[in-house]
Amino acid sequence: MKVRNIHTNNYLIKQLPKATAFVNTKYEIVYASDRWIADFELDGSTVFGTSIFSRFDINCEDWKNSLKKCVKGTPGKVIVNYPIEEKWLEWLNTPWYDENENVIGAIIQVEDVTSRNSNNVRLEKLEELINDKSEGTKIGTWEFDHTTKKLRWCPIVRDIHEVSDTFVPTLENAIEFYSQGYSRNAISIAVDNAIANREPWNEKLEIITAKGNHRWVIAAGKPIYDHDEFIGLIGSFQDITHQVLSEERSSENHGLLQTLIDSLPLNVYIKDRESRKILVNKSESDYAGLGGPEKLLGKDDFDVYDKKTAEMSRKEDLMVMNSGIPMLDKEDICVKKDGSSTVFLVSKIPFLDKNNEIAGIIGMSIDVTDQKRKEEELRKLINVTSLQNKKLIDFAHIVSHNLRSHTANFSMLLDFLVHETNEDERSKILKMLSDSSDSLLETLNNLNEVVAINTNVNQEKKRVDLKKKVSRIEKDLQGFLVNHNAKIINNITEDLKIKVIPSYLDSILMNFITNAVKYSLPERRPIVHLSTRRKNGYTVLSIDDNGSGIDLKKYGEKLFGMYKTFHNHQDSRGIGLYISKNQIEAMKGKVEVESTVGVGTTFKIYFNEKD
Amino acid sequence: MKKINAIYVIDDDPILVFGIKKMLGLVVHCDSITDFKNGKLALDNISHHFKVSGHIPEVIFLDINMPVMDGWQFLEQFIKLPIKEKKYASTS
Repeated sequence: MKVRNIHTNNYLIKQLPKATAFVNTKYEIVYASDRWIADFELDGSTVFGTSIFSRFDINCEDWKNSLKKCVKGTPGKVIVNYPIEEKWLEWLNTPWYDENENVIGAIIQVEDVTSRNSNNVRLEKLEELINDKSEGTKIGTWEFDHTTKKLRWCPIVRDIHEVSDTFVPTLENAIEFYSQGYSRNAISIAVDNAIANREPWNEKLEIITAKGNHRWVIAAGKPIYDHDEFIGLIGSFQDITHQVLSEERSSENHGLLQTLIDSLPLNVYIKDRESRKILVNKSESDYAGLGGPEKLLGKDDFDVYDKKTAEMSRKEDLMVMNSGIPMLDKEDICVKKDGSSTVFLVSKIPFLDKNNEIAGIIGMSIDVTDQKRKEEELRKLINVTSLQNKKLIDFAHIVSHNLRSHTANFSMLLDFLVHETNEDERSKILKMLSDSSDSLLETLNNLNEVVAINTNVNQEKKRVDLKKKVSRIEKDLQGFLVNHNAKIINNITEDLKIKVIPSYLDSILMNFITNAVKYSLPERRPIVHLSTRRKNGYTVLSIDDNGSGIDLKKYGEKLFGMYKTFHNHQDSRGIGLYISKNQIEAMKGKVEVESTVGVGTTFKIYFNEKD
Repeated sequence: MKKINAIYVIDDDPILVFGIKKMLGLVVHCDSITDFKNGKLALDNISHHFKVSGHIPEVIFLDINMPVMDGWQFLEQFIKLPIKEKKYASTS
């Protein structure tokens, strides 16, 4: 074996297009292509014969080992960083054989792979990134090769399906993972559609894993083409079971809360700062009557209530929002646009947002219309009862006083009678006793009458034509009226019917008309004027006279009392007005009086129209 | 028996007036016992007499409940009279 002349560059090698060098077993450069010498900026005259290790300042064991192995017969490839120019060089080392297949050195081909190498690095980095991302988001990828019919799943996809390492996925068995029914149908159609119509898909579907667990996934994919030829499918696969479950749970919670507030026997709502409703419950939306809660959302009180109610409500809202102090159990009468009114017990509480700032109000109203009405009825009842109580006490006083005075008279007269011897005097006393007895009987009759009026309150009422009734009374009193030269002017509305107990009405009219005539002034012709009008559910009969009048300051309180008379008239018994008043009140009416001494008196009798 | 000038009985009940008069006859000497049906009549009489003679009845029996002017109203007017000595009793 002859050692090659190392000083003579082989002409053929010199012209090789790639950077190539031949070293002998001592690593001395024997031949080199011009490209090699140029690439590494070596001196063509001194390069040959020197050791490659001394020529290249590359501190890389792999590179050294690769060359060392190569001269022993093992080819090798090594990429090293060439620090001088920040380059990546790929050294392809091939053993150099002589004619007898002995290794006489190494053939080195060097290629600048800087750009290729950095691409690789970027690719590695990207893959790493994708893997990281996939791990984090549980998004896996898959690929289907149409030509080989092979389906490749990334580890995450395998993980989601919970398949063993040996499982080989195919398009068919992949589809079978989807739960029967909607999910499986949807994915089959999506895949078919993708192949036939190039449509990508993205579906939320349910799979049953190899271990039998149900999982929600987002399966997405799209077909890929090479020059219009379908070559496969790629896609992603994400496990969203957790999200779906928590979504379900939160919607379940939301449903529970909604059911709760809808079932509350309260009107519940939340308003924003402009007093627009942003949440309402069923009661509130039913009450508003706009048809469904969604119709009420975004509306304010001016859309539901009349102006006055809405303004009041807005004022309350502003007060609560500005002060931050809740308004509790305020009684509001709310009138809706249709005119219906409801009494609410309203509470308004500031509604705080995440930053603890007042973003509106939470409102709750309880309909207390019924309670309110009952309260009103109760109050009325209490008034009636206390009035009746007072009447009862008055009556007891009257009874005791009247009976007492009579019995005192009896006992006194009887005492006189016992001791009297004079016959004339005795007969005089006896006459008085008899008078007293008559008077007692009359008193008892009067009291009886009053008791009857107050106990028979449930006598049946009838509709009576008032004008005709007055005309009839006028006829009955003809003699009395002529005697007093009195005139009655009947201005009562024609056909006016009032609901009364007829006998009471007779007695009342008779009493008031005769009174009006009786207490006339001697110098004036008595004129009694009757007229009617309606007022607050009552028919009001006014009986006007031009008589002497009553000093109401002095007698007003006693006017309707029993046995009170104010005139020196022979036939005034002090019982008429008392009975009339009782009769009017028994018919749930009332009586008022106005009078000026010397001018006349007006009695106003209120007949209840309702009951 | 004590002698009294004038006694007024003001009461709207004739029987009571009769009784009072009769019983007074048993206990006092009195030349004139006058009765009135109500406060107004009595007051008019008393005012008139007081103006004319400067005298008023020594004793007055006054009822409370009477028509036209009752006992209270009578008293209200009566105490306005410039009388120095006052003597009265009342019944009810």
